[in-house]
Amino acid sequence: MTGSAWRRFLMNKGAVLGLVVLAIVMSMAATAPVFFPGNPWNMAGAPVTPPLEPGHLFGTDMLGRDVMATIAHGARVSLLVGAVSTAAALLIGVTLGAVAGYVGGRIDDVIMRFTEFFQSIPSFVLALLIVSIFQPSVGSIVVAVAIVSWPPVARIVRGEFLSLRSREFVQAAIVLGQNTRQIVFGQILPNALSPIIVLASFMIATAILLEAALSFLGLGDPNVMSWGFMIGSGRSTIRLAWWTSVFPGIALFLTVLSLNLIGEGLSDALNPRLRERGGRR
Amino acid sequence: MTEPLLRVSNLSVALPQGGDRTHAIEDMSFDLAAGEILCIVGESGSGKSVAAAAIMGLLPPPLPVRSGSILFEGSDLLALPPEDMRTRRGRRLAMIFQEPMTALNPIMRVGRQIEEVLEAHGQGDGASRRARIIQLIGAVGLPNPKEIADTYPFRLSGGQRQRVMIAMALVMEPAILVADEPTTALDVTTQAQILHLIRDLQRQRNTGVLFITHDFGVVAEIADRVAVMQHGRIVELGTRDQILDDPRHPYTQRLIAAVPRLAAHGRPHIDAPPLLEIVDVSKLYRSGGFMSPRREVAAVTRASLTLARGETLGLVGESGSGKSTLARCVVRLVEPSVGAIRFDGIDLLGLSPSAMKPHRRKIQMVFQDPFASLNPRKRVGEIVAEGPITHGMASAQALAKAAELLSLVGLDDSAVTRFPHEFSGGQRQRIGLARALALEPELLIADEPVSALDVSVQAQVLELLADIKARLGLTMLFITHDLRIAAQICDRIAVMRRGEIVELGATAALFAAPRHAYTRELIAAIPGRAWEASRPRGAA
Amino acid sequence: MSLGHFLAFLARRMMKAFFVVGGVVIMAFFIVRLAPGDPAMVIAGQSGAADAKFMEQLRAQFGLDRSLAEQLFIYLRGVATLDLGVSHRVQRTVASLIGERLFATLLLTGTAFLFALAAGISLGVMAARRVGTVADSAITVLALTCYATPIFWMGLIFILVFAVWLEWLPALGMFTIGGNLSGVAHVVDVLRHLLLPALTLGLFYMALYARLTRASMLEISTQDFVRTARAKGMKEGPILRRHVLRNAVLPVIGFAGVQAGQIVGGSILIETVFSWPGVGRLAFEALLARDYNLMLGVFIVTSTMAVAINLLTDIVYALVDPRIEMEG
Repeated sequence: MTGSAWRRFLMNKGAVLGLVVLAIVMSMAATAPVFFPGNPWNMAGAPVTPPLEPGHLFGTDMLGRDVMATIAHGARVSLLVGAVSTAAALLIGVTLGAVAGYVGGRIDDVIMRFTEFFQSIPSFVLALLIVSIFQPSVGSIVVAVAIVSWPPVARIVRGEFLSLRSREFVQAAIVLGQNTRQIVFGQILPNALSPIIVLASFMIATAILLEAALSFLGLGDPNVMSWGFMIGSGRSTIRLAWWTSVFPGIALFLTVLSLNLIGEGLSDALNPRLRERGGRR
Repeated sequence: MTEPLLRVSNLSVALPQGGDRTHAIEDMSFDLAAGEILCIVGESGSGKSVAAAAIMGLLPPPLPVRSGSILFEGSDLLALPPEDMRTRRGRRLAMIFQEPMTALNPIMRVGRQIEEVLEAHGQGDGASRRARIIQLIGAVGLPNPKEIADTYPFRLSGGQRQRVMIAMALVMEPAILVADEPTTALDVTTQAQILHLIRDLQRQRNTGVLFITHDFGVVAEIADRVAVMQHGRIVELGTRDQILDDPRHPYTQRLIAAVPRLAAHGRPHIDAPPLLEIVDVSKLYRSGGFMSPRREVAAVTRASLTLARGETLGLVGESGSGKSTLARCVVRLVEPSVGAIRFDGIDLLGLSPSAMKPHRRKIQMVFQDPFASLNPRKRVGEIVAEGPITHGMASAQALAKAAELLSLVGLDDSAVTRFPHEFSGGQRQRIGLARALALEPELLIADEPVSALDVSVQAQVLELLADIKARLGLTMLFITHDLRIAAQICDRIAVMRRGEIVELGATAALFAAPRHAYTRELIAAIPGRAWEASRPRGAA
Repeated sequence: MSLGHFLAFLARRMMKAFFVVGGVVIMAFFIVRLAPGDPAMVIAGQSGAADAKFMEQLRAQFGLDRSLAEQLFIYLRGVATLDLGVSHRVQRTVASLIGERLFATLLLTGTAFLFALAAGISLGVMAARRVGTVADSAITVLALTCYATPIFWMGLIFILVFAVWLEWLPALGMFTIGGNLSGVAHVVDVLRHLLLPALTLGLFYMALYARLTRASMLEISTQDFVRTARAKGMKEGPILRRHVLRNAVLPVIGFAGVQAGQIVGGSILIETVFSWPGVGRLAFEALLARDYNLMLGVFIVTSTMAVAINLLTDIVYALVDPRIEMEG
């Protein structure tokens, strides 16, 4: 990001707040084994301890697991799944979108039909199907989330490539004699990055929600403690121990919110409507 | 002397903080009489549009009025409460805008949009309104008024939409019509029609017209009086003849001198072997595919021409004529459907991309849009050096060459490390030219290189082009829609219409005795032709 | 547009929808085949894998001993005749299971969708009209909150607050069991049960549509034709309604149609949380029991629902926007 874009970003209070919260969540995830050593699945105290008791700030669930420890460890799964699946979806989507937008013609048609088809399917149902058939694990969840998340990327990237391909500075590059690789990577991609970066931020948020929903329904990796799983397992005891579901949900909410705020901040910062049209004529 | 219809006194409108000046317009004063056309002329940033908006009460909130008065029909418009001003808008004062393609609501029928004016001012009822609308649509020269009234804007051309706008403006018989560059976005033949329409309607209704423009040809064509603006101030105000034939202020003089002369002085016939031969080139676009009906559009049909070494050939036409498509065929940005293009004897169309590469050095292009023709993320030095680097020159050497070229086109050394957005439009076009020259081409294709620039800047860039061409011995294919510009710098001109070359000949001969009807139409449509005859023969 | 054009347009869209559904069915077929292990095991799930004779039956029934192409054909033929197979766990046809739950899901998603559109567009318009004020910020905050909250968690919170603590609304189910109500009283009862689930499902999309509407309104306000309307001397009210709103709402409708699939997917979560007797909950039960036949059936049906909603919004969009080429 250029200097002026950074400045614009930092002037956006919401975006800075989002950045701070995300940093907190990330450091929580990183330091989880330090502050909450041991297995979060293990019993840490008396079952159904309400919050604000000594040693269990967020209480314990019906099996005696410390809620705060599970939140800290759960952060790792959420962030990991969110980041990796988004990266995979971006890889697929950017490649398909770039080819469709740059080559055009028949190939564009075919890729777009394919993308539209995928977008018509309810993504959550497809993700459910994939995870349940291939047995729940972090791997299958990442694959499922990536598979349902790539279509919007492809659409946006295709749009960018299409519009940039006919932009005059790209035409000038062709006339200069540059080959396809030089044009795609040297001219088009750097100018198409901004919307991709913004999109990535929102996609990570959606991926985290998707993983949480899958875990909530019981399709999470059984060896991994996840926020969604906690909310789901706390459901049966919600009248007695509301904190087991509420706090992980708040953690989820804050993480997703911060990513959304960052995304909005990036969008405003990287969208210099006025910059290029600075000198009129 | 009768009271003027409109009296603007000492009008000042401020600009938001951080701009290059404090006021959009400063201390502006002028009168408009009933039945007269006052042209306000200026380049971009002169404040002419702000003046128009101020009179209509349409200034956006960031632009507050600081002082002055606008007297109209007994009231100071600036002092009126918003609701009172609203009742005058559309009824006593009307406005038409520059871009007909976006000025109408795309999902509302045209007749309904005109009816809204009558509705907003409580006029008549359904039937009488409809009758009036149909009558007016006919009066602005549109055929089949009833059908047009029920049509959506996207089915109409730019010229037709502008006529609808005029109908909308005149339906309540306003005393004043404010026209903000209404013909700038139109083809020259359409422009001529709309100008005459405005003048005729204005005469019939004795309307006072405030006509904003940047084109002195238009001024010559229809103005009664002229106000010249620069940096927010009126620098000269007078009758049409006074301003055009005897401009006093240096800025006015400069602007008028910058308008390319229509006098096509005879150029020596260039007798040299052909560098470029375009033989029977056609380009068809097919749309539609799986699940939609196919459509075919012929952008270029059987175009043939030859370009001798050292000459400048102009490709002239209106929008949709195919001139840009044909130019792009030469550099193979567009692949012709049939035909041959020979450069120095070699058929370019048969070459594979890698075989084409060495030939690309010899044919380079300058583009139209200064804001889109430079990669916004690269520094200027990189942009100019890209060509040589792509063809194998070492990076340091290429950058040195870039610096040389930038000073050749009149830019500072420091330009090398700056980004495109730091430069003005005219400067960016110079950078584009430097980029094209970096490969030392033999043929330069200029695709409307000055169309997006202000008049005074246009003159400078054209001069630069002519100078460089002479110095480096270039051959040039010059695409433009402006016959004045073509007259100034082209040796021969090819006139294109709907994809076909309808006439091709030496410039002077073409202007003196055009053979094709369309060429005659184009020449006749040039605004301000009559004025050309009386223009003082200054420096050409 | 003329009737002829419209019918041609409809025919083309329906054919496209048909192809999508066909694609979904084929995809479903292959997903099961792709799963690790023996397809018969996958289909039998947990309900009878041990029984060798049962597995033989299954194989014969699905033609698993025949070539892949034949299997596909059998499957497609089955789906075309609405035979989606049998759920061995419950010993009933998938079609009948889904059929009896379909209405509940349609009621839920339909209500949520309409609520989201109505509330979202209203809030978006309000925010755009009062851009920069406290009201605008408040709406933005509300939208951000609803958008970032996981809907299943929101449902739990709502149950906790409104059903358990305040006891204003019922927590679970579609109607009071054993209530034996009829007529208006029954409808009211269903509505009371519908309120929380529909609200939960709808709030997320309401936030989405509100943001989109606001952005769209603000963008349209800067367009030239709005300036023309002002120059004509129109009052602000009609300008907003006839010029800004009508144009601004178009992309929202388009977007809502594309999003339709997501609402249908979200109903699985909501129905699970609120024990709403719909297709979504059926999917959940099928999941737990690894009843793949049922899962596939739900997959196909929900995809068809999404495609149908998409088609409907496409039609509405085409009717409202005259620029959509009926013949293009």
